[in-house]
Amino acid sequence: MIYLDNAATTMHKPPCVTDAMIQALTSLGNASRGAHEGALQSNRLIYRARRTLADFFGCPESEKVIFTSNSTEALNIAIQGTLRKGDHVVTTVLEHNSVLRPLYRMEQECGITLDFTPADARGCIDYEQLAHLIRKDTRAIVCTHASNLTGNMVDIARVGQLAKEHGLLLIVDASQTAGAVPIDMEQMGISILCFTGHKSMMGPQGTGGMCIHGEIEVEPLKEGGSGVQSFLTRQPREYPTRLEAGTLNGHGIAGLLAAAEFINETGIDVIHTHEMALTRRFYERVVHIPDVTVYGDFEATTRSPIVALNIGDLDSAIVADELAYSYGIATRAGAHCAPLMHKALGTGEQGAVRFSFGYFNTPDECDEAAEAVEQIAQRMHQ
Amino acid sequence: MMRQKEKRLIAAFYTTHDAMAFEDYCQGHGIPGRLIPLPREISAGCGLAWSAPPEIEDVLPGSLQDAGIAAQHLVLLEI
Amino acid sequence: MIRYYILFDNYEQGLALHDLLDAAGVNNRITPAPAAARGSLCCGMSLLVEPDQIERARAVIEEEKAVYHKIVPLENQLRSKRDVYC
Repeated sequence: MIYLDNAATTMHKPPCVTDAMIQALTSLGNASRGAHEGALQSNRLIYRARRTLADFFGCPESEKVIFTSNSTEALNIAIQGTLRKGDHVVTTVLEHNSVLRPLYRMEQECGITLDFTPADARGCIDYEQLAHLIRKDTRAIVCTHASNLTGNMVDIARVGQLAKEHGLLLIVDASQTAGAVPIDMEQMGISILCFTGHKSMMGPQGTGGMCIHGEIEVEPLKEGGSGVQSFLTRQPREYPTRLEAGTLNGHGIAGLLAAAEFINETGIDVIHTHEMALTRRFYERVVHIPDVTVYGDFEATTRSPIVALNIGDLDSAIVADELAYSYGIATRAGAHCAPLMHKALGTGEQGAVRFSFGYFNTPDECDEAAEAVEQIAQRMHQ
Repeated sequence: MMRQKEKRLIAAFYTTHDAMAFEDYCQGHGIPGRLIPLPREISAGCGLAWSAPPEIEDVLPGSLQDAGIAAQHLVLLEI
Repeated sequence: MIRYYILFDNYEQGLALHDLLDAAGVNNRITPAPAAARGSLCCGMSLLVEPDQIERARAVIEEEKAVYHKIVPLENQLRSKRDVYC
């Protein structure tokens, strides 16, 4: 199989990730639930993971690196834990449902108000328009770092500056960029960064987290066992315990730590350059194929390693099926959990076929995929 | 047979994160001691405490400060 | 050429019928549900069944009382792959 669905999850992980998880599965106790060596091993590993990820994302305090099961959980905690009735939020049409649905829920159940920054035909937002949506009662900007459909990146540092000028929280969905491009919360003005472990971080599914910058009160989504202060009737208030009720996924975090260390050793710039080269190589072929429409801004200097396209008016599901069945190429078709982005691009009915490249993909795989697109396009004509 | 009680210098912490951070610091700076379950005589945020020989009673506060950790308690105890 | 897409409300229904059809020796393939067939209600997974297998598939569904959303015939939008080599 040629796996080009890395934006959904990376299938090929560095061997050190597997090794770390196997080691963890055979040796870890439950962190914060005892003082014996098994529990301490787990505690030490998780502590090291927090320190490593704090450096990785430019989060000044490692105790404010919170582990979750994925970025969806992190975004739900961030959004539901910071917003209150009467708050106004500015977001964008680039967002994934993991941002949209918690916001809609807060709108319907808690009385927040929302405004969406529109996108143009290339899927790019206008930062002036975003700024104009800010009001006196705006509390936060919640936005993605990169669209999971087009791969277009948002200039988060610019949005961060805007948030700072207006005293707003900036909550960022880094699902498509964590592990793919350098992120520095401090530099970019990010208040809360939500990330997942299983995409460009190349860690296991079931891992992810959020990093909180500064003194931000985030209320917990769940309360339960904490291993400490057991006689309190509510979740302890100290970070990270406040937001980590229940047993942590120690085995998964072992894998995530190994993945972060792999990225650090390899160099995130090396990874990004490789992925950009693959994206560009594929794009340059397919954009010239008759009847192929490619979505997104390919003039931008940097982007997520994604190319989304359609072939004529072919149903994207049919194209994806043909790619998988006849060519052994794995892609994702349909709506990509990004309904507003599809509406903005006019692909609500047809969907789009998304090719997303990862560190372990090769130039030959790009060429084969482009050839397959060309052959399918040729077969479209009766 | 229960082991003999001995006098130890106990640092208790507000959070597990602080306890792990202090263990990391001590191991990196050759400071003697180890993590133990928090003795019942002390009430603290975290169930892990650092147990050190009483001889370093004058040294440990400085170590905590250098590590950037505020101990919830620092006491001599017979455990 | 017409092909048949069996649509479902969720993955569990789809995988359950896939197993039943496989066990009965009815050729079927998991495939994304085309938008033209899907509408807004179904899940994104479907089972693709060729015309010569559809009656056997219906018989299995009936016998096993398998749950599904609907069966939709659709013209294949692509020409057969062998045309590429002509």
